[in-house]
Amino acid sequence: MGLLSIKVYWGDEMKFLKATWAILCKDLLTEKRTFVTMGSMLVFALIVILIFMFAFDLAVGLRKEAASGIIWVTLCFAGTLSLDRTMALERDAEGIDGLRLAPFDHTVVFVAKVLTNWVYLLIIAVIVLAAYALFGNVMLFNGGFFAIILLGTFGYILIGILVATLNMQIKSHGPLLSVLLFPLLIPLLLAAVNASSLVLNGGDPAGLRTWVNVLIGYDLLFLAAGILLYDKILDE
Amino acid sequence: MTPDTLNYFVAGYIVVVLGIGGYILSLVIRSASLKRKLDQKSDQDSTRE
Amino acid sequence: MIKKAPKTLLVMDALAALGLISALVLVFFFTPVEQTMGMVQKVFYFHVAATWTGMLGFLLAMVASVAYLKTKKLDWDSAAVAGTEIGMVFVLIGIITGSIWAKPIWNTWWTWDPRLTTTFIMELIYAAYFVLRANLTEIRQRARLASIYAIVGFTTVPLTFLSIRIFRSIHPVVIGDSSSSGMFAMSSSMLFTFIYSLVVFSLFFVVVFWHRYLLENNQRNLTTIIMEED
Repeated sequence: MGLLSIKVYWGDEMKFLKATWAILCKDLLTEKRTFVTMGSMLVFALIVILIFMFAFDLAVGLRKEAASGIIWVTLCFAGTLSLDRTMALERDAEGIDGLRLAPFDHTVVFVAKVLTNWVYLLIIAVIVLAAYALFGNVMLFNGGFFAIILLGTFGYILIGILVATLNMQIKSHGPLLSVLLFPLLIPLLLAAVNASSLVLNGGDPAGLRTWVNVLIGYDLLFLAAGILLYDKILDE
Repeated sequence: MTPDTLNYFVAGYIVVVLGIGGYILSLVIRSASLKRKLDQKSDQDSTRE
Repeated sequence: MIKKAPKTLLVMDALAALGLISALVLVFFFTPVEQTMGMVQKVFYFHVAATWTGMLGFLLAMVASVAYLKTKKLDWDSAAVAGTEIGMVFVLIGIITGSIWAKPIWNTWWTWDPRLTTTFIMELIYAAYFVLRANLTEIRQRARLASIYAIVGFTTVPLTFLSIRIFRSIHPVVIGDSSSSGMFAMSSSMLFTFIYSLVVFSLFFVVVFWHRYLLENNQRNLTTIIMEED
């Protein structure tokens, strides 16, 4: 509960950064000690990849084409684990009231949570990519693909944190997260999968540009929405 | 030759009528149960007094 | 305080009912049978009107949600609920009638074209809205969180539509018989009935919305009174 001992004076930008950093360190330190979030994400992601490989049993030629879709679906599912957990952490340790009482803007919480969960998801993404490349015997390490993953996962986490914070305030919050989150992810998913596919398998560069624009637009939109609305989600 | 799509036409309008009718019915039922709860409550209140 | 429907509303009820019946009469007897599609084309009048009403409901719900967050007046929350529920019902009617219309014309019940797909996703989002509400019992918290979800949800809709349209332009889909496109020329009687249906449904929307809004308010007031007495 080191959070309550942070003294922050409102009105100073450096303090905003310091407060964000403080929450970030708190979360990352907890994670480093227990590895609960990343452990479960990793196991879940690998199992999902395995299931896909068996369920589809694709011919070698198709594996590269299917890679984009399979990897993004896996990331979406694995991501829900970190989202649920990151807010559950606060709820369980009565941290949510601590977060509310702490004398700084709730946006700090939003930024910090987004950054930590983005890091978790990126790490998982790299491992998933490696796993798929190994199991499927396909070459996936591609600068463009990494860029799309960066953009896509960022958007995912942005809207994920918003919905997770909403969801966490409900009593039976677990299964509801997916129901609330997934319909909102469709444009992001569509853009990410198509952009990744174009990057991996080659194709119309104009199409790629369009999809990347959609991704960037989505990211900016929900960054703005998050910063504007997060207060309301936490506030009584 | 104009195709005979009468069945689809009928099906479509059955959907519309049932849909609208069903929704209105649900509103009526919910209103009625609300009224019943209210009456029950005012009975409780008056017996308490 | 439990409010009853005002006289104006009751009058409008009668007008709306008359309007709907008269529109049905027009559709059945006044409009001509379209040549390429046959009788099923007539579904179009109510299909478009229903979908239009549904979209109106969703738009109203979005506005009401924003208004609630700004004013904290629970009446706005009731408006949001009413709008969303009506939206869902009417859009569902629209989807089903559209599907019935599509089958003989395009030889398929469903296509993944942008409008239809986006509409389906919208229904999912708003179903989730109600699931969210069902799981929250505290009134103010429920109103606040539901409003936020409604706003975030509505925001994704144009994005979803655009994304799918881009997707479709890159992967064009042949919908059944490629020579038929669902378009037809409208004669003046068709146009009249079409607009008449839209107007009638709009009036009907106002009426149903008002009733649902009152119902929601009353339910909430009763719950509050009961809770306060405990």
